Amino acid sequence: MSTADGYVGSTTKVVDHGPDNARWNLVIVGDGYQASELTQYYTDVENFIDELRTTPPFDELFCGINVYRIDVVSNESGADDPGCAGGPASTAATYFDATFCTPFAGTPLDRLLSIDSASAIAVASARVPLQHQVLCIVNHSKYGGSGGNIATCSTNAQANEIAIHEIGHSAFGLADEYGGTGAGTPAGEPSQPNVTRDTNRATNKWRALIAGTTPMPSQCNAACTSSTCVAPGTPPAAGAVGTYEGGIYSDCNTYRPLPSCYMRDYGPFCPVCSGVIRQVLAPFQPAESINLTTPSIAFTNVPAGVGGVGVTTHRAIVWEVVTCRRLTFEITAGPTGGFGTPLGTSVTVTADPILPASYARIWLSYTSTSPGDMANGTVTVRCVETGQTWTINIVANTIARPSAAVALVLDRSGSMTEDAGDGVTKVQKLREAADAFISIMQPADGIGLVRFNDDAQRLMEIQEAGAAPGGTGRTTALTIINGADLTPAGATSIGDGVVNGKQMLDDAQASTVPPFDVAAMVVITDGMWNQPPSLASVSSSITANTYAVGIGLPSNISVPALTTLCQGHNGFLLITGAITTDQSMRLSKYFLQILAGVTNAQVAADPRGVLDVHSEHRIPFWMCEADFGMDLIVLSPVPHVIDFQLEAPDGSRITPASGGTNSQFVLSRYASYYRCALPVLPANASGSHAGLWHAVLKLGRSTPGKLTHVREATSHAAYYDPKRAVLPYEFIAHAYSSLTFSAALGQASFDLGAPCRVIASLREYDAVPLGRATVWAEVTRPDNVVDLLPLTHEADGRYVASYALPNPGVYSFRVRARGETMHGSHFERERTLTATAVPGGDRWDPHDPPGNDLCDLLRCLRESGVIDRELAERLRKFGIDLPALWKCLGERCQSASSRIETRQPQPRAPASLAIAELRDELLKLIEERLHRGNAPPE
Amino acid sequence: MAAHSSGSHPRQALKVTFSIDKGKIQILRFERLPMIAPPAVGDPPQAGKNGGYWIELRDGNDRVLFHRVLHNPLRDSVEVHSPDGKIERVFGDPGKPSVFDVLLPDDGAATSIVVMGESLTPVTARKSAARAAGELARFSVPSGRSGNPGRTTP
Repeated sequence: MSTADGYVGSTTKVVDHGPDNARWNLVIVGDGYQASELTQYYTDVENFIDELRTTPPFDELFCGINVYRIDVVSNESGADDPGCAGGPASTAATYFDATFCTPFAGTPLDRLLSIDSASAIAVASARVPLQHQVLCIVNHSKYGGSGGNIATCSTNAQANEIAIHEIGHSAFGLADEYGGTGAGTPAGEPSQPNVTRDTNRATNKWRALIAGTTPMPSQCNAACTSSTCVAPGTPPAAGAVGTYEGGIYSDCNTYRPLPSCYMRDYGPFCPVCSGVIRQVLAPFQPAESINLTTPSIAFTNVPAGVGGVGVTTHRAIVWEVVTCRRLTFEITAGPTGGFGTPLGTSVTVTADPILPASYARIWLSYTSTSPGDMANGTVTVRCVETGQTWTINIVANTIARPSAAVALVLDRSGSMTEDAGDGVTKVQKLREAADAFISIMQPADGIGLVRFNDDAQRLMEIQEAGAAPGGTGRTTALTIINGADLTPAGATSIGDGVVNGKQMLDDAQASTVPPFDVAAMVVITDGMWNQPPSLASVSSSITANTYAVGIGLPSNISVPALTTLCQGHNGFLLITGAITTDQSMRLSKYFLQILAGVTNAQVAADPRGVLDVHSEHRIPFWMCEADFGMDLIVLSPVPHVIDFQLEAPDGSRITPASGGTNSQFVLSRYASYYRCALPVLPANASGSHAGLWHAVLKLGRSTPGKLTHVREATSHAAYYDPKRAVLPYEFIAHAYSSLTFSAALGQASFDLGAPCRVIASLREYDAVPLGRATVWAEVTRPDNVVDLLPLTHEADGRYVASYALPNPGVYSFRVRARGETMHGSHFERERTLTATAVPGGDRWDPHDPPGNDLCDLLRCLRESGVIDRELAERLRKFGIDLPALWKCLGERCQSASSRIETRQPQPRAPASLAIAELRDELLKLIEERLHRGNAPPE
Repeated sequence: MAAHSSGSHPRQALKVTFSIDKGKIQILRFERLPMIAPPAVGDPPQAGKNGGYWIELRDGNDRVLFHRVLHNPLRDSVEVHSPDGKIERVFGDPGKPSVFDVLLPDDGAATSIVVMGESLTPVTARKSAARAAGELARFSVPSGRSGNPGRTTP
């Protein structure tokens, strides 16, 4: 049991308050942690740091301290425990050979936990040469520890106290303040600063802290019979520093500053010891600095609210502060100009527990009014401790809500007649999804339609959607979507669709005054692009945000090209995979994910369910004070048979008949939704804004006795289960908010086993959410197994994780965030993303679309007359039945005279591979027959 | 009371490793490091008056430039902690050399390192701390970046 029983791993600076040559450096090593227990070690280290950091006076000195963690791995877990106090004996092979019952002067002492301190110091000094103190945490729950050259403690909840007490000795030269028989007590005045024999208030070493009213000596030890201490007539005031008998191993004639202290019984450090610690750490404290990083505050272009309710936005006055003490910043004048102070008029900061600088923020608020309005003001802030003052200018203006022009670029190739997977054709899925998308768009948003197969056509130029329902643009678009213009036929020229969509948006922006604030293109396809132009060639000219949805399996879709197209233009690609009956509205849901992306809405909830005639579903979702509007959407093939109500946090009900200025209920063909401004009930603002809301769903109209759902629903046999009389639905809560969550997937490779990187970001106004937040992803694999993937907070509200894609297919990432806002309100956010893996998935060349070389060759041969009767006859002699071969290839190529779609119906290798295999097989066959043909025909 | 850095503390320290064995003390090694040495706290203890142990840096005129109080350099006792807050110290002969580091400011004016204390013998061997501290050993401040002087004094 020695350093042969493990190894030294990595070293991490877990508290970085500055350069080592200017800070007091604590090094923590572990013992008895196996590799699999390092996570626990990290937690134990954090626990100790928290304990030290929150123990006065370290709480005000911590900015002068760095902490390093060295990952020392042991072969076995725990520590030796010979059982000297009667317990069972045990041994553990650990790197520093930690053991309880350490013998001292021939006697084993049960709670004396020691290690090979020379080895520990050697490791610590090698990794952190400028170390001032070494601590070893031993992975054992039994109470124990020791001092000396290094401090040692176990992981017992109370053992941290041992380490801090021992650091009091080794780092600060403090004496023990407990008494004893006098063995070990120095004969003269102790040299340590916190014990004395001197009760004279004129000469006592801590006389500066002794009040004139405090008797000296302040308290005698009644148990001491040989003391010269004269008890005071009046006891000292509670907490008064004086001379209290008993200290440095003697009960008699030695004195300590207070009855209790960390150096006596783990009580708070007495003022004398605190002063010593402050004095020792003073040279390590960074110079104090305060820098205002926001000399002015601009609430620029705050949108007018939903339904006439102003949008309240927060901005913070921010100071970067390097300090070791508490600094208070307070507003002394203003803010003028009608700006608010939502979190109060003062803030107090202290050192950041980990980083060199901390940030003080005083928040200001502005509530938008009418488009075109402007506001100006000032606010003056003073730092109480330093007396510095700052006057900050504030400006604001209100604009109309940002509008978005959306071009839907829709695939109507022949394959769109195929079953999407649940008995409904892909084109019908597309119609339903587009219908819901168009129905839910904001009135001021623009909608345009492009279709493509062999080539592309602009079906409808960008028009303002107009009122919901019934707006002119919206109605026109819905008519086209559900009409013959999308009847499937022909091939898949995605590139031409994209070119037309881009041109349509460019034309709209050029002709619309004012232009739309955002231009977005949404490309929907079920296939591989196989007609020029290539996506790569058109991509660079696109300026609109670009999203895409692939209907079907990734092996059949131009995933790399579409991904590149979207990721290069602030969008994302979603792949549905095979649509199953239990997720029949997945495409519509993906459209709403894109709608949220286009309109910068936040997805606050996204569950699905199945209603039956007896059930009432109460779907919870959270709104916070940073949310200023919301769309609560129910997707269903027959939304009009679902009674859909809202329940506010205070229990108030909002129904389709409620009306009011802040809520509107809209029923469309495949969706019903509430569009609300927050608070929904202005007369009851606190009860209808932040908090837990419920969507309440049940089948049938709200009028008793008039359940109409069965007849209506049974006409949608693909969705409705008549045996169980149930109807599936999807619920989506979109919030318009100043608390934003974004997520993206990065895939450098689409081949099997390649990792993808999940990146998410949380912002609350212009800062990281102040409350705690957790971000994770629920990854649904192609085999429907769900993996939970925690995202790690890197910095500044950015969360990351990596995930490998071992199996072919679509991986759905439901990236979620949950936490508290700066006001302490609960919030939830989520985004759905997809990643794909395909064998050989990186073989696509965006400049060389995967044409069917074999079919092209055969078509060329046939059309050019190369294959004439003579050749057919010669092939026949070699055993090749050309008509049968033509038929076979015709099926494969669909038609030798028409353009082909290079898709495979089965989810296997990419189409190019299958065709290549076929070509190779055919060439092999011909070669074989030709070789045989060299012999005389029979 | 807040501690504030003056920002002027020298970032050059002398780390000295001592060994005490069988009543003798020696410097095992030393190393000059670019770091801040913790400052002296309180009035310097005085020989003949104070008890305990400390180290002094003295100049050529034998003036004390710096002192650092040492905690139990002989390692002749251990603390036995208790979760109920009652701490005990057990004294005895450790039976093995005591090795410990002391971080001193690398003061160019210092010529001597002086070890002050009551005795170089563990407390049980001398029964009790019967006398105040005096000079126990004196070493020249070593030169060079690091080394192993191996000097001993009685």
